[in-house]
Amino acid sequence: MFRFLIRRILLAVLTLFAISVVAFGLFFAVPADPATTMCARGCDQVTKDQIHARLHLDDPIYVQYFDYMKGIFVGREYGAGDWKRDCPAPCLGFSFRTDEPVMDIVKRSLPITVSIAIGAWIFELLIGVTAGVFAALRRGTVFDKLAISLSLVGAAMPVFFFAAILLYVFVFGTGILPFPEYVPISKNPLAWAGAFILPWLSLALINAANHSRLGRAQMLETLSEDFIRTARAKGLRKSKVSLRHALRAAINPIVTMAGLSLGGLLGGAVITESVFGMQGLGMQTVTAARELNMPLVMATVLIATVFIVVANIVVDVAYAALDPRVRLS
Amino acid sequence: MKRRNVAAIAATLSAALIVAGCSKNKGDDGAGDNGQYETRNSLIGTAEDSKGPAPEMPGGRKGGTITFLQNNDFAHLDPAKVYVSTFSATANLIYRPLTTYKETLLPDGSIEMRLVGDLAVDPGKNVKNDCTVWEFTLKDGLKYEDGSPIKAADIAYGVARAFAPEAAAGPHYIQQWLAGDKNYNATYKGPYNGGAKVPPGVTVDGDKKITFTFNSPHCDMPFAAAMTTTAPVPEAKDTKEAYDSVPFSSGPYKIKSHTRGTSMELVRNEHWDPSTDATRHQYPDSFVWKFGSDIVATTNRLKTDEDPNMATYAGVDPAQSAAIWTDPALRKRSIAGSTQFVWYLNINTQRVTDVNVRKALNIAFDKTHYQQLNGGPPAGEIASTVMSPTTAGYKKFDAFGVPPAGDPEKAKTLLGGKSVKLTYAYGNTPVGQQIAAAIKEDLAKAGFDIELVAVDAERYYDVIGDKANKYDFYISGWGADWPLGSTIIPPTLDGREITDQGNYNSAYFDNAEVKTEIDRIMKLPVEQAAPEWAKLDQKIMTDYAPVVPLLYDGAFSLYGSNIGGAYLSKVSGCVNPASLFLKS
Amino acid sequence: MTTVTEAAAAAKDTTDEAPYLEVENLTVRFKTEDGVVRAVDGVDFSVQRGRTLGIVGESGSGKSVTSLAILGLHNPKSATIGGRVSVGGTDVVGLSEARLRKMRGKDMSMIFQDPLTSLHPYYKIGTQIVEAYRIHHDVSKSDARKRAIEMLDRVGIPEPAKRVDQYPHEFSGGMRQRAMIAMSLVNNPDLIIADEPTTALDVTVQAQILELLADLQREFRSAIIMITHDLGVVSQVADDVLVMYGGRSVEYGSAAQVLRSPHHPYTWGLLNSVPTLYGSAEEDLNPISGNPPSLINIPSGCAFNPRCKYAMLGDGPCDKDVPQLAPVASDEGHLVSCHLPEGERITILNEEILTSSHLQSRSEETDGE
Repeated sequence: MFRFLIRRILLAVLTLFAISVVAFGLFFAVPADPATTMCARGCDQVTKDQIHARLHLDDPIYVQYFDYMKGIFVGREYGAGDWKRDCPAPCLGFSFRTDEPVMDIVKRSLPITVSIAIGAWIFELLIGVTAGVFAALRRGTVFDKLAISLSLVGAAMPVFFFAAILLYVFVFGTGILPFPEYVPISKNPLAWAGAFILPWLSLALINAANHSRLGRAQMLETLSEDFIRTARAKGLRKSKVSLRHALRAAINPIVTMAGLSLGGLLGGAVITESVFGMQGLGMQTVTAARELNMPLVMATVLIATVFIVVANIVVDVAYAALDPRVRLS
Repeated sequence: MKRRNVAAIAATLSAALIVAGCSKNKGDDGAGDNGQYETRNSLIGTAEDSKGPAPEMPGGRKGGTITFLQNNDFAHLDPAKVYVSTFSATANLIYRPLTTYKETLLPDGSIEMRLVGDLAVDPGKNVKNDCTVWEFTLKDGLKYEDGSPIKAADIAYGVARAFAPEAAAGPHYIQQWLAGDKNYNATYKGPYNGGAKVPPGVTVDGDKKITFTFNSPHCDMPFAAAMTTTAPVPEAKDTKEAYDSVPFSSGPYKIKSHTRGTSMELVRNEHWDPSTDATRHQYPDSFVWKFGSDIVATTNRLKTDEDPNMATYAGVDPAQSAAIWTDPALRKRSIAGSTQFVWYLNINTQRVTDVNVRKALNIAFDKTHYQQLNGGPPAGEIASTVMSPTTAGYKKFDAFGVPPAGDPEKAKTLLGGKSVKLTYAYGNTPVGQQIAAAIKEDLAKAGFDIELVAVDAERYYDVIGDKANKYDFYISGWGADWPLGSTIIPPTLDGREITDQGNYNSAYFDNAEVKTEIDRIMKLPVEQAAPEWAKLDQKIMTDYAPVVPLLYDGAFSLYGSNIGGAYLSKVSGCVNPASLFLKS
Repeated sequence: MTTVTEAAAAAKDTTDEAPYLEVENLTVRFKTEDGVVRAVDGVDFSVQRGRTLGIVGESGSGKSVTSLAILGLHNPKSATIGGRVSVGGTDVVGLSEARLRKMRGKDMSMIFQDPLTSLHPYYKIGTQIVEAYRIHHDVSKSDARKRAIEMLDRVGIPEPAKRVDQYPHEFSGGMRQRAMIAMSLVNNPDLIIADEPTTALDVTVQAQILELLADLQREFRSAIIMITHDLGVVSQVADDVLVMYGGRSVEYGSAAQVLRSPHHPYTWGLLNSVPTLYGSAEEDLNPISGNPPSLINIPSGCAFNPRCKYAMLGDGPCDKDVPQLAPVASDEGHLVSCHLPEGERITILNEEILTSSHLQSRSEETDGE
């Protein structure tokens, strides 16, 4: 287990390194000049050159990459002369657009994205897996058919559309809920949850469709397994057979799917952020990409990679913890 | 005024974001209808006009908090970096330049705009009457948010800061004039790293007097002085990059808190004296900006009047603009009208050298189709001039006397029945594609054979700004930095402005007669220059047709039902927060 | 049917004790989208405590369905069960799920074919046995654990105290089946249904397992139903043999009767298709030609007629009338359902079947038991 973890973490670090190199190369090699974004109208080459020099954009790309990495691990200095300032590790550079440390942007926007993603994730698992499992246990009943139909609808409906419907119904139509406005969880957990309930539901109900279909299929498959028959032959009551035996065995693929869907949720979070007007990392990145604000885009790529890589490790560990047949070595 | 940033323009072109518009354009009900020049007795105000306090807004009332919804935070609030119109509209609450625009609502609903002294007692003294030396004297009783007096040296320091390479984002007219060179900071690089606190060409005489001396005449100086670079910055308060988030207040409001990307709260600056200010009010107790509300969310929240104390600079969601446009109840809570932006079809005159072909394009082009694809009337009013109706001296004319939908038959005649093959470049976006297809189809009726070339939307402006581009025509927009033809015609139609790349004269129009005329008008006092620019506009269009004016970009945005004093500012092209109040 | 039941009773009447399990006219039908599957169609048999009934047949003959019907494990929504199944005097057909559950594992338990798939992969062996024990016994976990270790020990698993905490995948095939048996026997059931318990195991382990079962049977005096397609297994352990084909019994009698003087062509085929340790390697196996019948579309008449090389077709009854299970006149207690006249069957048996080296050697093996 320990050795497995070390190996996976090393692999993750390698992955991160590779992705950082590729992303850096792609973003910093684009023909568009970020100086254009930072420069006023009528900006001439001299001014642009000054900007290039200030951002070290004229350095060879490997030097820029090295500086960037150095910033992450030991911090770096930014600007020159009276405008010089420290960017302590982990330094993700400065926004081309506002000169703000990217870390500051990440610090204020990541909690929003993570709140949306994790909350929606919990909801979608609760709703999706429960619906799927019950549909499987009540196979062929009205509940099952309803669950199947709804999951088809869910799978076919775009998140932004569903989010807009929720917004119209609960906020603009009936006024049951106020327009979601982000409040940090540390400040007021209730207000935090209140602000996120619609984003959560809009993502969760859509994504729950996948989980319910998978949950149902897995459950049906497990219910036809020999060991379920064994459990019943022992004289176990049905509820115990369903939960202790069938669900326990079906949970592994569900956990795998759940872990992998976290990555997809990041993408979904971008859409919900935009519908609900929340300045999460997703929205920041979309804006940044349009404005050629590469340090911010780069930071998002790295963070998303870390997120997904970690989620994968957690899935693997969870898989091993859940399935005694998997040996982590 | 001010530019829209490149990304915003690209987005406008790309995502059908032209969502503003105007029902009653000033050009319609103004003097322009009769073919008369718009007469302005006093484009530049007097010392009397510059005196405070500002006349009360009808119904103006103190108290409350007005909330502004906005998608992205202000990229800049540092006076040396502010250039985008919504930034300066907000900055206008916080600090005061030497001069500013006084907008007076006339009984007929139109707005009279005059340049007046802001910190200065008047809009500047043309010391030698040749526009080379400009002197500004500060009013009495001017104070910062900490109660300390505003001094002329602080203005010089503010002007000096804009020389710094770090302040590349801001406008640099005064800096270029002081340096006598477009490359304004080749030698003097601002007050940092041991640089002089007062830039070369600027003299400070005591606490009240500041003088700018240029090598060549710059009659537009009073207007350039209205940009934020002349706002005072006390050296002791210069927090450099942090100043971009929290500038020091000399205006009616100061920044209480500014959490980047999340919110900003402005509260009253008790040291601001209304009797020194001819244009600003201090009605609400506070303003709160909430960031992260995109155009759809903003539209919905304002439409449903969820919080009647809300307002925005943002336009209306394109998907809803037609419905809102025709809803009388919502229209009552909206501002609409032309901004200083104009959209043009630039004809690459290096390639399309036959003036008759350019004229035929003007005649054949179906502008109504273009307007419709951009969202209909809210997107803006159909244009026929290079200058926007918000420009001083604007004169409405139509050089070719054709209906807005064009006259393909007339164009065909002009082309002599021959088929002309041209290449049209466009930003590759859904709306861009629709427009391109429409252009190809509409122009085919006049005998044009249009080849369409899609260009990566992100790089669109780089491509058309490249002198060596291989395209015959393409669309772009331009907004004046101040309401004079001098910030429209010289940057976009003066052949001497053409460089290899990054051109705004993307028609690559280079005409000796026009250049001579530009030089002549530039030396005129602005009052005389204004109608001359309009005449030149008409001459360029009639004789050379280097562009096809398409739309006067429209502003169209909603505000909450409890907001009073909202009007479309001719200065910023958006609502002016300094006039807003809460009705109850 | 009465006659058949009486005949069966007569055939089984070897001890005075009443049979622990009595199955009468058992029918199991499944409704499917393609039609009704007659998986079991009128089967009768009985088993006494201490005795073993072998049920033989190809896959799809209905043997496993029969065993699941006894435990009431079919889904009542899709399966229709008819007839009478008396376990220790209780008719389990139509019995409530609650009452059935109390009998499962305690009065009747089952040993499944593949212990790897039949044991829950994520629970320790001990946990699974403990669970089985505590369903029917209100004892503490530690007591149940002691019992589990005891049972593991009893079924011959070395170091039971250690193995009790291992997972099924950590066991070898044979050990796993022993564990499965331990779990089945933990509640001292009176009836054990072993459904192909050795099929998944290699031959040496097979023998050990069968021996263990026989051992345990002697100790606990349980009634055992041994379901298999392997006549070798049957010959080793069964007292009585029921041969099933197409959901029906085709031959029923003592092991000696059915294995040494079979009267049904299908049984002949089964015997012929078994390889033996003594047969010459060159000699071809004689598998029964054709495939088991579709249970949705059972051939008319005798279900075996399309594959029967002695079938009397055309004018004969084999593809018209369903043959009834009837006593063999010359062999008391031996039942067979075949249209062939008994005399002809005896002739074929003696002249064709018993001369085949297969059956010869098979008989020798049986003798050896």
